[in-house]
Amino acid sequence: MIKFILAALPIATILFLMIKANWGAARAGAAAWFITAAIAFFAFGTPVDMLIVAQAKGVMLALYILYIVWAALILYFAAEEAGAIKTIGAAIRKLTDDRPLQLLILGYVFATFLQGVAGFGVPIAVIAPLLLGMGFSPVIAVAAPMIGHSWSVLFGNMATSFEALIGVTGIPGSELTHYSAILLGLSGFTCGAAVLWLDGGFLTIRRRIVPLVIIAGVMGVAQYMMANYGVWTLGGLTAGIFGLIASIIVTRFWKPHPDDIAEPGSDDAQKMPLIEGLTPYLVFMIIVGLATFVAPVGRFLSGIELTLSFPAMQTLQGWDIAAEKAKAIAVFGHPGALLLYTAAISFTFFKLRGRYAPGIGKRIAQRTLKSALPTSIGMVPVIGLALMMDHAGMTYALAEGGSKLFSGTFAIAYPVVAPAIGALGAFMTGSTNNSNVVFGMFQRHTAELSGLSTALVLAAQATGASLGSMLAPSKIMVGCSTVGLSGKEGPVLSVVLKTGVILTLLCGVWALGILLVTMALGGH
Amino acid sequence: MKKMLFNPIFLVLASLILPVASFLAMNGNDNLLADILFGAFVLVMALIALRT
Repeated sequence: MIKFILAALPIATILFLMIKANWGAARAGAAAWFITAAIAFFAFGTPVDMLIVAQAKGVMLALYILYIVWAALILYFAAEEAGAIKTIGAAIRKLTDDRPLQLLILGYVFATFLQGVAGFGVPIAVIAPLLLGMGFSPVIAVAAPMIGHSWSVLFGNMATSFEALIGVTGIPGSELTHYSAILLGLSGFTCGAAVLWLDGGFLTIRRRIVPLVIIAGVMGVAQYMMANYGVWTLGGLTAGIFGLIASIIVTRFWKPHPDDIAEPGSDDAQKMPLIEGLTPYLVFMIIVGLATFVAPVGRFLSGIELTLSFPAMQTLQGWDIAAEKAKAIAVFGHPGALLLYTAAISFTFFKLRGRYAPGIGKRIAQRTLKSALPTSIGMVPVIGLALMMDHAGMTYALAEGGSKLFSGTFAIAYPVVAPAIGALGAFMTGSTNNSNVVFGMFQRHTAELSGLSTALVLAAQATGASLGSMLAPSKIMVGCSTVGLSGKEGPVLSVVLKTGVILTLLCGVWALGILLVTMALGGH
Repeated sequence: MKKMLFNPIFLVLASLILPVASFLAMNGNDNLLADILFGAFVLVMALIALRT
């Protein structure tokens, strides 16, 4: 019990400092880093060598994310300075006058699509400034894509985190897809509802329940079909494409509620044709498509990789960390590199079209520096403390403590807590992939000991880990940096934390419901 | 000096370089250097926590 409380202290500290004391993520992360280091060293017997390894791994992960942050900001400012963002915002306002539906299409459907093609924080970095430009508050602009993209993380970005779960647990993917896709589909609906809720509460959801059900239903079914036909690597991407098509069709028939008609933008007069405004994002999709689906291009771009090999280590209390390689950064094939190519092509294109005022290069550099630096300072402390917790066995102690509450006669209720453990892992490590790696085997053992369906419990873990990515402080910092909220991440964390907890609990309820139904039908 | 220590570019670069340098020193069996570099990294964390 004492270990459980000590392991929870760093999380409590960072939440308190960010939400109550209104500290920025960087300061709060650094303060919590000291508490984590002290607890890891004194209470969990983690040697200094192991702390050094955890920090070095943290730096490699931070570099991976920062590459995307800096490149996404350069692309955004290149597009924004040309007037492309205003053009896209005006076009979506023309697609529908319904303000909450605009938020749903961008913050949920488009975020799902981008998660399908890129992931690693790209949906938030791209969409948050678009929403801000359309007149949404900075907090909603960041929170909407954070919440909206989360359900598609597991099968998005070539389903890397699902592959990790398969690899760690040794259970074939075909046995996990059925329950995972069902739980994700249901959670996708609640994510969409939560995005609508941001802009007016339950009344907004009630008024748009029809488009929500249609769009979420189409995306959920598309993902289920792809996952269960063995093409789970394209599950998130397909869901996003079908969601965009469904959204366009729905807006043709949907009449906006008079109370929710979007204010016409002050400069809705087209600065450029829509196709020109969309050029950066079309180019990005083509480049990602080439890098992903044309094998020789992918191989060429992955030719030079930065990585480090880390040795196996053990704490004084016997907690083992296996030898592993850091997440490799393909210098020319990384999502950040693809964003940089897009930025260079877009910049040249807009320059040739005469869209820029003089001194554009300096202006983009200054704006990028101003937005990216505060985020970059906080990345190492936040990721470093999460990896320290992992290496000291603190994250595992937290999950173990939580699961003990559901042992014995309460075992049947374990599916309720399984997604929470997945979400905790994603929150602490900033990655659905890492959560599945850390907790996959633990969840499998717990399910086997409790006599529950392993496939269902692992699906609950994976869905919780996917939803938990909305809570990752590193992603919040990415979003905040693009809307001028660097150092003021507390309000965004507060919104996504409440939403994330509710959505994760709901996911647990879905999982329990599935368990009870299958038991009633004679399954296990 | 104070301005330099709290400079964001310095803090970002120091927080990225020091842990990797410390790990590489540890890998090369130079434990004293590894500990010194890690100690410097701890100071950088303190600077970030104190930076308003």
